Amino acid sequence: MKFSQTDYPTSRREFLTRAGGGFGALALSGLLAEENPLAADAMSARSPNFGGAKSVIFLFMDGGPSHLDTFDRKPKVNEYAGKPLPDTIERKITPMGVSENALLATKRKWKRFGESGLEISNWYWNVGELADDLCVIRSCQADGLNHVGSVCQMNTGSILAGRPSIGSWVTYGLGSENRNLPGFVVLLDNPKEPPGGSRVWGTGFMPATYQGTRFRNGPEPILHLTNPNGISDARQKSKLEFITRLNRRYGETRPGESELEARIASYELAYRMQAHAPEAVDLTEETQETQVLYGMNEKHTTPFGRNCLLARRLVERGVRFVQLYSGSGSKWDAHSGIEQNHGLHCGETDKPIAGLLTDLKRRGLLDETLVVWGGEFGRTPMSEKGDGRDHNPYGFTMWMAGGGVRGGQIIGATDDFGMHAIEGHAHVHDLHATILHAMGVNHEKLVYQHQGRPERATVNEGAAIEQVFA
Amino acid sequence: MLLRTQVAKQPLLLVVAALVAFFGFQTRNAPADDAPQFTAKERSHWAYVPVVRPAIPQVAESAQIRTPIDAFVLARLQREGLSLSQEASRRELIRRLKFDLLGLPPTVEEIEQFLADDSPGAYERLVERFLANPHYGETWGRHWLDLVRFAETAGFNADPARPLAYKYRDYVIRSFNGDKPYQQFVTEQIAGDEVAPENVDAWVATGYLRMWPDESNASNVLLARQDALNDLTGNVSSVFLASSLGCAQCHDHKFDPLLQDDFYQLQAFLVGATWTDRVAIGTAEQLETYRKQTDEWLRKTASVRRDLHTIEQSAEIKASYVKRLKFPKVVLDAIDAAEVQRSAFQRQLAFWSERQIVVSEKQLLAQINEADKKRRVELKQQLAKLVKQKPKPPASAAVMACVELPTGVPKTELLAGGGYNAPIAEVEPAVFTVVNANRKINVKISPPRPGTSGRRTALANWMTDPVNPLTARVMVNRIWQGHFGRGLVANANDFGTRTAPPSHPELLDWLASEFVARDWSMKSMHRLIVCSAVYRQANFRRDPTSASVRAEQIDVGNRLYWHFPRRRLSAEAIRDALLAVSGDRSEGMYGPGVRPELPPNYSSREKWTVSKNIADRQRRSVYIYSKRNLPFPLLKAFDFPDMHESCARRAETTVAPQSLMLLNSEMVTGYASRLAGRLMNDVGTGDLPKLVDAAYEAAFGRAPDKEERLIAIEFIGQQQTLTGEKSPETAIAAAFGDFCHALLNSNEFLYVE
Repeated sequence: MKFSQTDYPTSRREFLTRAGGGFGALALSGLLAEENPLAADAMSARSPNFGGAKSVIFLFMDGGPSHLDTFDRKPKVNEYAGKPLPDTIERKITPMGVSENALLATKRKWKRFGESGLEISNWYWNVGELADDLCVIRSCQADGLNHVGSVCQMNTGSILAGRPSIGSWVTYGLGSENRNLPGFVVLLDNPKEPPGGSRVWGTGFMPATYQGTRFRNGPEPILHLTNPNGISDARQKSKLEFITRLNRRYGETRPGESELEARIASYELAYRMQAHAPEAVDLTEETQETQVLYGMNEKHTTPFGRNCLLARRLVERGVRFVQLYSGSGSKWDAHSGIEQNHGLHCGETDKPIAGLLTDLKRRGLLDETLVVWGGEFGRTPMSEKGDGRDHNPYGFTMWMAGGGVRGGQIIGATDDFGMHAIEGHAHVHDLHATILHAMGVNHEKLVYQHQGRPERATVNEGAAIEQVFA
Repeated sequence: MLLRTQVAKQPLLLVVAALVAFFGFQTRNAPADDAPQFTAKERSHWAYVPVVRPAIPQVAESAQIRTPIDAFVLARLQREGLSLSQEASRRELIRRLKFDLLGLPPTVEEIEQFLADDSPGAYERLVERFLANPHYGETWGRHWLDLVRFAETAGFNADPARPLAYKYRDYVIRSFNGDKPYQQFVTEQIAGDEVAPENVDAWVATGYLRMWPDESNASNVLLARQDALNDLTGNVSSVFLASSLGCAQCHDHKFDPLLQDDFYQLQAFLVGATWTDRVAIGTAEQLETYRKQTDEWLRKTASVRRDLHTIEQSAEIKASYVKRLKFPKVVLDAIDAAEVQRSAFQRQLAFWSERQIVVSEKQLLAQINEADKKRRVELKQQLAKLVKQKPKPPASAAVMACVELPTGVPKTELLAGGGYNAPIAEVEPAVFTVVNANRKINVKISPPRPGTSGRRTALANWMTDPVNPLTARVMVNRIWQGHFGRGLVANANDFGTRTAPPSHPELLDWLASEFVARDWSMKSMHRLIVCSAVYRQANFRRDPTSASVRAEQIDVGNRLYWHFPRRRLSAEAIRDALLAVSGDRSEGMYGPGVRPELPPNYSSREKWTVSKNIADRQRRSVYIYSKRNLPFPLLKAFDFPDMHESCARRAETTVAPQSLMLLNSEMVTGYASRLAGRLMNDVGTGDLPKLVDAAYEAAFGRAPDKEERLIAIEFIGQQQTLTGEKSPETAIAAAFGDFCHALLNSNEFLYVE
């Protein structure tokens, strides 16, 4: 079997056969058609009036980056530093109960960038150089207070486990463009997984076909990708051929059984993946200049820079959704010592992200790649332990770039203290609807039938923020 | 799930609540009795009308009929001009039956014995033997564990262990093996503490009520409590009543005649349960005596305990000052009340909050002045003496269970948009309005023993009342699905209007009435089904005939059961079959979950201490530690459920990671080489054809045909040259290992038909 790397399905039948096909889901056609008549809508959910992104790169700052010290400048916080929030600001529950604490001043320097004049703190001045490509959404809101629920919601729409992640929805809706690689890949910058573990890129109630695949560091990115110890390629190939022969023989007396054929195909795909995945992750193919662009010449920017470069290689090869965790395992969680904590993590990500955007742009890939930056929530203006900030899901910042996004603009606003979103509320469901919109998918039409209920990525709520693209 | 308990939506919820309060209870529904809000069509939905036992159809060509089931299925087929396929071969039947009932492949000896038995009733005897085998409970109990989202950890970030949860798993296995009437099985899980307090199993069964995922450091305790109750309410309605009532948490159901009231009225049955990990076991009288004695002892010791509590409490408050900041007053009051003083509601709040403000002895002492320290020592000494006089229960056990308090149950409120902080009105327990509109079953709530409300007993009684239209239908449909891979109703957790009506409505009703008539015996339903001609049909593709070709044109999905469907083995059956053929499998049953090896570097986040005892690592998959954040990789690859939501039916995916797992994982290559070693040991390496035959028998339960044998020998020869082994003995061993490994990767091993 031979497949080109980027061919589009032309019919519903082909779509069903190919849905999530990057990971070999041929049997799914039967499953979908029989049990999930609405799945057919997944394809029709795509509208030419919507965005033109083909891939998403989601940069997830795990633990909750402070909007107040990065993309949402609040002079009043410094003015009120040492005093509590004025009475006019509504008090909310925070995990560490800091609502009456004194405010913590930000020590950042700020600068306006580009024609748009977006104001960005000196923790992200490399990214600042690309300000005219960024659409900064300052009015994000989420429902969780703790990490596991909030990371779960930023991925799945719900603070409770059990729903498919947004990457799974995208893969379910659009399939993959590469038949030798998974359609949804997750990259971590250190060995610790984010809260909730692999479930946050899982499929919940959807079949496993759409799950994210964690690429591990090193030459074997996928679990069990290499031959068992001591087995030569020739021996492995011969064994595989024999398995196929057994299966074909078994299939001969059972003609037309798609699931049996699917399993034969899954072995062929497994073999192709053994051949192709190592190539996709082989960064030695990249020039020195490119590696430096991503910060791979310095120790502290190398882990995230490597993943950013990998992400570019993956979307180039048609991978649909790539999610990169910075500080995975809640490392951005600056309850104390935010200067040191964010100084470190912003430092690790600033240059690589700028490199990624620059590289995508110069290769003509930015228009078809939506880049999303953010965490599961922001942080409070109130101080915790004198030099940290608590969780703030009531108003925080994310930004998007590429994939048809109109750069150089700000959407929504928080109050003078960055505590609550007060304008242009962008709930997680709205953000998810917007990501789908960028991919050309109407979130209301992308439906998965589960236990008698039409399920949507946005939990039947939310709306795409059209201003992002206008 | 439509969870509107989100904090960010509070302002909106409050507005809704305010409007509702101002304009009266406009979202409230009319009283249940007259139920005018339902149309005739809604009321006559097939699942809500009482079961009426249909007559067994008369069919021509009755030669194929073995049981009434066959008459129903054949009558339907004949309407399309179709009939049943021929009976499967004995080899196929024993493989099908053993995987189905016991989740394991038949051994070579079992097959030979069955083939040799040509006396009448050989198949029926095989059925009886299998039903009596304890592996039955391990296999069919697992189906039940999927439904109740069984896990041995709580989930969320910390995913802490629930060290007693395994007892519930063992209870389920024992219940299936003992053929416990389903009526009793339901009642024990919903209200075991109320109806059978003398029976430790009944206490263990109430662990069902605690299977919800739980965040160990939930900041918003009121929300966490409501989430747990909502999760439980939704699960009860899905599992026992196949109703997607969870949809009605925020609003009346969009498609089914289920009301938001119904959701909270069902919740009101469950709301009294408080969670405990140690229970007193005894008859109702014994427990009542024990309670009175305890009360007396508490009275006697009140002043000592109060004085001690006063000293410790104020110190605790000081020591945990920062941790307490996030809790509202209602939660702090619950924490600060002495345990014996807490109401049921306060016990529930303390369950979520107390563990978050644990104060060590050292921290405590730091907050107590010297005089009080001295006084505290005295008081503790006094109390220690008094504790010796403390009455003892007749028996007690460490069990993950539920129990109510004699002081009554918390109120249940209808919540605007499902918001925990937006109550509209208090509701009382009541059963589904639409079901009662058709045929009213009086739900009388009276305490079955002193000290408990009897609400859950009343719910169990309603569910297991033979006139309840849902319970028996739901369970026979699950049993049918277990045997055929698909239920007569396609969505076993939702009998609502969004699910296609049953393919064989009369058969479903006949089975439901038969189930009740047979005292809710699950084994007798298995017997009935697996002895039917429908079950014993061949999978037609083995031998297509003109009839089957025609049947496929009419009913390609086999909805009418004109042949037996092929199925991929479940995740557990795949691993258990690998263990069985390699000879690794150990027989141990029950006990805390075991932990086999993970693939190298699989997870650095989750702790997974491999079981010390090798035999434990080789036990059946149902005993593998069910960790919500780390489902066992081999099982997960083959569609093991997520353990957070009820799983009505496993997905059957075919994806490349499965192939990589079977091809390249050390675990699977290990099984293959041990299978090879075992056979070489038994047969010797001198006679290659005989060795090939033995491998076929072990993996597929049959001998190869001539051509297959030739192909196999050719492959083994080819591998010998590729192994790179120098000595002929090791080369042939490696090559034969490859051959066994290939068999274990093949469709014939992974599918059963």
